[in-house]
Amino acid sequence: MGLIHDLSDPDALVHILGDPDGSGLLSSTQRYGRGLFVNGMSTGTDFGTGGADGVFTRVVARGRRHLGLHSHGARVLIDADQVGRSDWYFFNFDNFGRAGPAQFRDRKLVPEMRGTLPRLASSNEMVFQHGIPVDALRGVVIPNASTRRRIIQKLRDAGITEVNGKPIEKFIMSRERF
Amino acid sequence: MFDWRRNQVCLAEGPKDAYVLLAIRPERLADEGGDGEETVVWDDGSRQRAFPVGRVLDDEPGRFRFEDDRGRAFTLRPLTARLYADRVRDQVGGPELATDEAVREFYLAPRGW
Repeated sequence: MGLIHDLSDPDALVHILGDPDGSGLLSSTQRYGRGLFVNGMSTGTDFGTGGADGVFTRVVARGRRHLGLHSHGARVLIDADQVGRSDWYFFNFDNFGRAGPAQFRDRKLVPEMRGTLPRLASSNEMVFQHGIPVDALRGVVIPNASTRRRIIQKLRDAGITEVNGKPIEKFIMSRERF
Repeated sequence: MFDWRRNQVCLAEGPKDAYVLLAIRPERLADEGGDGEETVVWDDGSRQRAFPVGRVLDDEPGRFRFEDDRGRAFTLRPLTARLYADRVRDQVGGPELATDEAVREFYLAPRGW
């Protein structure tokens, strides 16, 4: 089992990996507080659903289909040990980030996860509160080769040459290496 | 048939409680969705959304309607400047965008997260 988070804009990696506190992936509310927020995006509506407090990931499991990588964006690979945190909630479908009492029937808890994995839907969502620290990131896949080179250079320019003990060239993977 | 290549910035209309609004770079993918044969995915400005297709209700150049595998109906339409002003801007606190091209450029531009 693994966890993934897809970034629309790979340039976000400079913020994610370069944060001096190692905060990593941040929820909308955390980004808003740090000025990393673009008005005009749907993110604003997250504040109406409760989803703004969470980082959205998808669970992937061996033998189950998952959404493929596409030419733009980047995929962040997250240590499955994060599931050991007790602050996540999971739905085996896209539930728009909602997690209130009306959603409890569909929400899966730790004891139910083992039974859920064999019928895992690619649209599932596991939402972690506030953020996922850099320590918990295992790598990033950037499918576009020129984008990957550009991001590695930007990270180098920002003084980031390794992440969690891995050289940046190994941490930021190509599609082929992934 | 919906023009997926041309319609890169869409208004997403879904169930009233769905809070989906924007569909940036929507795609209709085969063989990637759960137990379904197809999945419609898009970037909503914050994260990737994914809805396995239950059945297609309408498939025209400027409109794609479908039900996902939970029976929830969604409609994608190209986001014009008028739709943006009427339906989107106030909800997301976005800037004034006077033309369809300005809307498209704003939502397809890199945004740093």
